[in-house]
Amino acid sequence: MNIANLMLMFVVLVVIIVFIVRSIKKNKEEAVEEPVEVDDKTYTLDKMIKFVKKRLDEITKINLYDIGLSEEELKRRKAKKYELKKALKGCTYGDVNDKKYVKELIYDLLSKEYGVDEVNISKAIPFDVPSLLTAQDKFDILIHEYKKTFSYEALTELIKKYNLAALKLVPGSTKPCYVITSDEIDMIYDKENLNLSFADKLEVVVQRIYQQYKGYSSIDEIRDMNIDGVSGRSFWFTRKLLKPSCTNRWRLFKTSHGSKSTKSM
Amino acid sequence: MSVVTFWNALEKECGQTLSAIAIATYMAMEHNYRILLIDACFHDNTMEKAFWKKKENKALRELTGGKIDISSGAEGLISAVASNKATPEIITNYTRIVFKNRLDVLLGLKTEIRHDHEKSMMLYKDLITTANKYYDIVFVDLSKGTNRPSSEAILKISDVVLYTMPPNLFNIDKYKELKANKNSIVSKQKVMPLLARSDESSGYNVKNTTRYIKDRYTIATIPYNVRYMEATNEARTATFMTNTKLSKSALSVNGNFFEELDRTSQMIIDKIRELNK
Repeated sequence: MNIANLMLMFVVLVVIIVFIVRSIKKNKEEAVEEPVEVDDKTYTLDKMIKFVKKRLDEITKINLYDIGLSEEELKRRKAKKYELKKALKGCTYGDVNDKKYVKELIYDLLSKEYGVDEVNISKAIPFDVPSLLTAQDKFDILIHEYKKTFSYEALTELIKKYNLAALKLVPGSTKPCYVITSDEIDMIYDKENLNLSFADKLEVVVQRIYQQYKGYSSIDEIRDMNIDGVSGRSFWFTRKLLKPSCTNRWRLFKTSHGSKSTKSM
Repeated sequence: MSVVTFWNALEKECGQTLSAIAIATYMAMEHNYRILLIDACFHDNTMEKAFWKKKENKALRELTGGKIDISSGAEGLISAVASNKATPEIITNYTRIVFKNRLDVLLGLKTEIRHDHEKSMMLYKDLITTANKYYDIVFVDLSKGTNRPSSEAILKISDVVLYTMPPNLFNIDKYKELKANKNSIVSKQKVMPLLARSDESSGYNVKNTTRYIKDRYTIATIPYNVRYMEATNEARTATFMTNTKLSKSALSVNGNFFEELDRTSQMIIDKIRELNK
């Protein structure tokens, strides 16, 4: 074995070691991304709510000291994290601005991270098949569309336009009452013949997620409207004392317009 | 307490972003002003590349599981503006620092969809108005072209508009045409022409252009400087500007560039004072 062979062996060994070290380093850098697992239930509302909860939890609980930021950067990031925490807390008390901020974040999370698009959004709410939409879906879409034009007067305008604040006699009741039935919502939805863009659909889904996660459930949007108030009764109380088909009931009073209506779904 | 916007009516490359970067950096160095430079262009990362190399924070990536850092950049700030939560302090949290307490940069929106960009840009007017309460001068590098409601709104609230044009006849003629039209924003007193990438040896140098557009005073200019161009390509803008200003030998090579930068920044300050009287 002469000196040339030994040198060649040495060079080959060095090349192999460098190759191994580089591949290990590359693998270490790449292995962090967690893609969203897609199956039939991925884009249902329940799964989306779980995802949003998990991500907002991650964002607010991130330990900024582990990142190795400069003093100024750390200060700014801490301020941003504090702002988000404050908004998440504030929106539970019904602060409209905090609600908007949290909804914007949910919108970004769903569109940029979760991969909600024009096709899969229909798995959350079947926008393209009106017969599959529930009365609540239709009401949410109507309020969203009216809100774009009338802002916080949306509900008032909807009631005024379709004369919903009128005394009605509903099946199963002996006295006439102020009520908006699901049949009326179906009729209004058909009449409006709305054409929703993807952004509109996503906003409706975001509102639905928000109201279940941080908001006031089905009255969340109504509560923000320019009305005198909302009064509600619990599920069991309503079932016992009102009528068995009622699951929720709220009343709103527009004293300035001299009208009064109750909505039940 | 002033908004200075860089804009051009034609959607063509004209050295607008690099002019905005040069003037903002120079004024932050030379004057005791707190400056914010806003990138309001669509799908353009020239400003980011001019100051920072794309270096990923591995620790942050590990902590977020490789997902996007949702509450950062202009997108995060737009959410705050949309929900009436934008205060001057919040705006600073979303900017990046070039010179501490002197120059902050708000990088542009990452979206590649023009409609989404325009929708977000509609909120920039409020953002700029709020930022103007905190910073001495807010420089805005606006998307070029006309017929954009968001751009028109920003031009309206601007104290000074620098109409940036490269040294070519078509662009200079367009400026003349707009200036002659009394309905155009260019005919307003707050608009200043700025000749970007000018060259003394060119037929369209500052003196000839001033004469051609019939302006009373020599117009503002940012001369073409190859070292500056290289620095902006290599994320060395801040280092180039500070080192060149300190080094006599470097200053002798780039003397004309700095002289004109000084003259242009002085013209902007004078214009702001004149309009605020």
